[in-house]
Parts: sequence; structure tokens; C-alpha cells
Amino acid sequence: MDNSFFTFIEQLEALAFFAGFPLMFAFVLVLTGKKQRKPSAPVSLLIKSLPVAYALIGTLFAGLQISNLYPGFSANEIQAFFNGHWSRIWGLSAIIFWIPHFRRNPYWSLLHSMVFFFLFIKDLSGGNTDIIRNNMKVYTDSLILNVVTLLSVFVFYILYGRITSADKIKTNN
Amino acid sequence: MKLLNNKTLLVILVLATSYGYFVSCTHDNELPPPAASNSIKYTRGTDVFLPGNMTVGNVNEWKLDKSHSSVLWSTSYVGASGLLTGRFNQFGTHDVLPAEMINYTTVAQPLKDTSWAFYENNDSKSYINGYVQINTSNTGEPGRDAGCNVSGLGTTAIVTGTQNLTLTNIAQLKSTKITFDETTGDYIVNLNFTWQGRLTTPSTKAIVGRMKYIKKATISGAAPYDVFGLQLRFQFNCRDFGITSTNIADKIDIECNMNFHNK
Repeated sequence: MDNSFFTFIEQLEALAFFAGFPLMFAFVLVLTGKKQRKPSAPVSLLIKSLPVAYALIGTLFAGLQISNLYPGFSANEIQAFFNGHWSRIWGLSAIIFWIPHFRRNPYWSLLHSMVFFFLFIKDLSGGNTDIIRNNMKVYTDSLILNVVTLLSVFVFYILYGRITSADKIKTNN
Repeated sequence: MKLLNNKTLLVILVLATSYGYFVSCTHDNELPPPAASNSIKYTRGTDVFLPGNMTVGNVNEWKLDKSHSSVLWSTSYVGASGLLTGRFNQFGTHDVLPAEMINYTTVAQPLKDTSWAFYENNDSKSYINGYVQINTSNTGEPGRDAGCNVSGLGTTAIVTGTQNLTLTNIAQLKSTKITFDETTGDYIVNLNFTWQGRLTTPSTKAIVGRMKYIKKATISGAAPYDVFGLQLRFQFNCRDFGITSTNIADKIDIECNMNFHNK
């Protein structure tokens, strides 16, 4: 990967989606603690929501990449779009967390997102104040996006749980 | 992840993020402090000028250089047009007392020009008194100056060889307070302006003027001497003194250019 301006922009896009996830993840885990709870408890649902929220962010990122690619959807153009652009490929790979197998351990989503967090740290150590300031703005946006996404997924789980439990009661009656 | 405690992870992430926010906080978006004032603060010297007895040859006694001084007036002609200007041919820096308000048969200064003192850095000691002879108003039009102006200003015509300092023919000013203005280097002069005009008795109005001190300079030559100047500007309303002519505006500007020497 070269150091062109476009590469820098690609990395910023990836940071905007994924860099805020690790901090939010750590906050959630510390706040919820280590107690064993029922799977339907809100705290359990919140932890369960983490990889799903991450998958949802990956999907949003994929949507952005598709809009960037538009209207060149030929095989050659797709190949050129992704060739050597590992941040795009790694970001797109976040959609694998839709697969239940990868969601079993929430830490996998943390490990996946840490790649972008390290990118963020690398720029911090670079010493260029203008870049750091810009990155921090992007990072703040990323935090907001991740928190909103997690809360959305969490609310969805709660509503879904109530609807399904109501259906079960009706069926049992 | 067992190697990395959740809390430790959180601390590391928070520290890294905090460092980023700290470094990026450059205050570039903050409004800069207001610019420093560009106004110049004038400082003044220590010159002192006193008339003494105006002894000729005494370099410490300063004399009014009347032939190189002037008292100028101007006002808007018919109130809105160009300026109508003139000067007073006879004037002086003397506090004319009632007993001195008479006719003097002389072509020279009728009274000593000694009613003034100027301390550059001591306003409380500075003062200036002066007068003009109204009928010596000179607009450059003899027909007007010796004609309608005489009656219009409530005075009498010039008598050749006579200096008319009578009550109806003089306008006087007396400073009551002089204050140095640090922002301009000028002096703010509070003064009482007294003139009868076309009233039955003289009227006194409090006026604020501005006086500029023109620094002392040495005139070289076979017998070098020093000069300095005081330029006083003020305005008054001629309607306050019964002047009814509609050919001139209410406001009259006065400029007194007083030059002094120590010959």
C-alpha cells in the first residue's frame, strides 16, 4: 500500500466506522461485570449485542464502499477497487459477524476492530498535530456511531425478546 | 483475553484516547484575544513659558508675536453653502478688566499681552485670557466689514488711530481649566466666552475648546531666538449673543494661532 492521499482517505473511512468500537466494548464489559446472568437479562443482551452491532457497522461500511464503487461494478473494476487496499478488505470482512458462529465469542469482534484502533494509535505517535486533530474528530464520530448502533441493536433485542415471549405465552395458553 | 483484564483494557484504551484528545487540543478554534489598542499615548515634556514683564532682550520672558499671529473665524454662508471666513485684525492676550474697557489712542497693542502662562506638564498652572476687537473683523470686503458687519455685530465703526476696547466692541475668553489629552497630545481647554453682541448686556457662555502646543524651536541668525505656538480652536453659537443675520449659520468656528518669541 502506498502513502497516497487516497489511501489516507480510505483509512479515515475505516477509522470512522471501526476505531470507536474497542473503547465502547471495554466500557460495556467493565460496566456489566463478570456475574453469571440469565441469557434474557438486559446485561446479557447488551453483551450479546456487541458483535451484532459490529456486524451492522461492517454492513454500513460495505454500503459506503458500494457507493464509492458505483457505477463501476465490472469484475476488473471491483478487483482494482480492492487490490492492495487491505483496510477496505478488512473492514468489509466485519460482516462475517452476522454468522452466528463468529458471534459466540464477543472478543473476536474486539480483536477484529483492534486492527483499526492500532492504525489510530500509529497516527497518534506520528506527531503531526493536524493529522491527530483530524483523526480525533473522526474518532469521536466513530464513538458516536458505535454507541448509537449498539443501543439500536440492544433495543431491537429487547423488543424482539418481548414479542417472542408474548407469542410463547399465547401458544402455551 | 484472559491475559488482558477488562478493566486493564479499558484503562489502556481510555489513556490512548485521552492522549489523542490532549494532543489535538490546539486551541486553534478559540477566538484570539482582542488586539491591543493602536492609539498612541502621548507624553509631554517639561517646557514652561511665562510672559513676565515682556522685557525686550530677556530670553526668559515670552512675548506675543502679534504680527505673526491670527484670530480666524469661519461659518457657513447662508447656513448651508460654502464657508464665509474672516479674521480679527486686533486682538491680544490680556484679561481686560472693566476699568480697562476704554478707547486707546495708539496703533500698537493697547494693553500688555501678559495674561497667560503655559506649563507643558502642569495643567493647573496654565491659563490663557484674550480678547478681540469686534469691529476689526476683516473678510477682505471693505464694504461689508465697515458696513453691515458693524451694525450686524452690534458695535461701532473703526476710528483710525484708536484701539476700541469698550464693552460693546470686545469679545473675551478666559480659560477656567486646562487638561492634557493623552490620546491626542492636545490640551482640552474649558473657557468662558464673553461678548455682548446685539444683546443689551454682555453674556458669558462656558465653552470647551482644544489647544495644540507647537513645540519650541530656535530661529537661527545673527541673534538666534526661540519661538513656540499655541493654537486654540473652539466654537460658539452666535444666536446666544443676539446675532440674527440669516446670512450666517448659528455655529461660528474660531481658531486662535498665537505665536510667541523670546527676543
